[in-house]
Amino acid sequence: MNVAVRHGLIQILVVIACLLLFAGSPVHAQSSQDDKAPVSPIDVPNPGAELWNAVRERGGAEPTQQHPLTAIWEDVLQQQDTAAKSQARSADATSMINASGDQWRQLRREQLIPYGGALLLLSLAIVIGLSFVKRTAHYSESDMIIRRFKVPSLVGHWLMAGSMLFLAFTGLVLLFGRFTLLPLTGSDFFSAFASASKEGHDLFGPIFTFALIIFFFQFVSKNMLHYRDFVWMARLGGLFEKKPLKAGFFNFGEKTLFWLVIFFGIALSVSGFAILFQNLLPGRDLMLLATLVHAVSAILLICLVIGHIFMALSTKGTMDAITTGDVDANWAKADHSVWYEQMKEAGHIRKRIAHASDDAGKEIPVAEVSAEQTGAS
Amino acid sequence: MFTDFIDGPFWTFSVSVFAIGVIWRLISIIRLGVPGDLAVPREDGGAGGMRTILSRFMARPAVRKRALLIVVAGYMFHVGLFALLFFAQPHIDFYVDRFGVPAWAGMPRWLFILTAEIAFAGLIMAWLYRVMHPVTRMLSGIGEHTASWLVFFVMLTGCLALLEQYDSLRVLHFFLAELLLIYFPFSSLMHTFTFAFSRNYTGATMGRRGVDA
Repeated sequence: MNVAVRHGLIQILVVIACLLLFAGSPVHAQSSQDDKAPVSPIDVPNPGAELWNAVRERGGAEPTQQHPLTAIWEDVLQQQDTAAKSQARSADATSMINASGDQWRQLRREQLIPYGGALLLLSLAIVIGLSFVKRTAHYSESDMIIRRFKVPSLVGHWLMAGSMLFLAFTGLVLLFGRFTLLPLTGSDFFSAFASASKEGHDLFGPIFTFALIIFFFQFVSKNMLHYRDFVWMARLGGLFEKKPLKAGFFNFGEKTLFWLVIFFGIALSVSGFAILFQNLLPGRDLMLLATLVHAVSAILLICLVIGHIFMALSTKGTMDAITTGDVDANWAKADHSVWYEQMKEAGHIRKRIAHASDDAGKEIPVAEVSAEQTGAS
Repeated sequence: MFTDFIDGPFWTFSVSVFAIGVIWRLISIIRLGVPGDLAVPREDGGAGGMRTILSRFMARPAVRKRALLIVVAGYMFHVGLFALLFFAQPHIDFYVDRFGVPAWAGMPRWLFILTAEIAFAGLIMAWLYRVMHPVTRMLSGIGEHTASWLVFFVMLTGCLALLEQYDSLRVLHFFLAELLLIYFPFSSLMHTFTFAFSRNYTGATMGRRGVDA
């Protein structure tokens, strides 16, 4: 079942990727070639375009060759703080030019994209490296299971996970595509591909927020800190110990992930809505700030999720919890001993059969977890 | 060439398969008839049938209590999809262009986007419930999953083409919609039409016996 679900999810992601790739298919290329029928260009004087061309060239031009319009730009920049008057009452109406946009562009191109990309690649490299480390099972399977998540919790988790993965894919296309995909695919393909990614991103953003709210209320009660969490943290989660540390329903690492997801999720949602409804913002600078917060939060959240997915796939028995809702009793005993004892006392351990309602609540011995097995994790 | 094929012959073919297939299946159901009921009816069967058609739009209290999620998700998806199909301005323009029907008022764009998001969230939650709940998982076959994913991709590609500036995106959406039209009569998507027949049958039968179904 797990393998089937995993394969199914991979196939679905591949189909989505193929659909987005189709966006730049030869259909568009064909039509755009047809559109390129020889048409005589009309020479329309455009002083604005000349100014912007001059602005773009201002860095490389020698002072003696400087375009005369560059001087206008420099003047405007120097006088940008001078109070101006305008009949318009909209935000930034009295600002002749917003120099912070240029600073934002430089920051995005020279800091955010290279460092953000490096961080993502580093996360992937760490995960790929760790996948070569041989991990032995930290528990032996029993014929007993415990219900860990109810169906609404599973739906809440996967709704958020699915929307987040789609947003991550389309967001990465928007952030890095111009520098990575455009040179490979050409502008015809990339323009349609980026347009599809942008529309999809805008659409699924609010769905992610909706999922985040559901997810928060479904799991917050189980993620409140407990004194044993500080012990868990102080002993580095028992990483260098043979015996697993005591943990409740979630251990400190899982609780940290939950709160980070909520924190970055809120940052992404607030900044995302600010970008979606940018015309309602009081100023342009706030919109620029929102795009930076959005991108930084997204990159950090994607790095976290890469680690989360790796842990879920590489730790035996963990995917069962979030695909079927049931976990092996020995898995619970090894990783969440306090919760296991609670379930045992409440009689919620049942046999691993399709219809085990008759056996629910019966106490059946569970195999002891050996120190060697637990230490291997 | 591909665009011309999708816009022309394949459109004609898919609409034909849809129309003929749906009519054929509905006529097949009607031709099955109903077994004769010799008992004196306690109540008019027609009224009972209509009452059941309408009353079943509301989930029973036990279902609302035990499976609220799927009730809410189901409504989000179905109402959202209905609104998108018939009140999204691009779709209205399409019907006017292809079928020559008079235009009607569409949703404003903000409501169109909001409706699409509600429909998406509902569809995804309904499908997740289908695969996560042990009972619905066992009841669901390849046909149900194909229908769900085909509808999802039709909706998704439609939203990816929202800018309406790239013909490739429009053609992709149109192609998937045509595949859905072809698949429709042979799948459980036929419940779009057959739900009324089955509810009416139950309601009329029970109505004649004086049972409030």
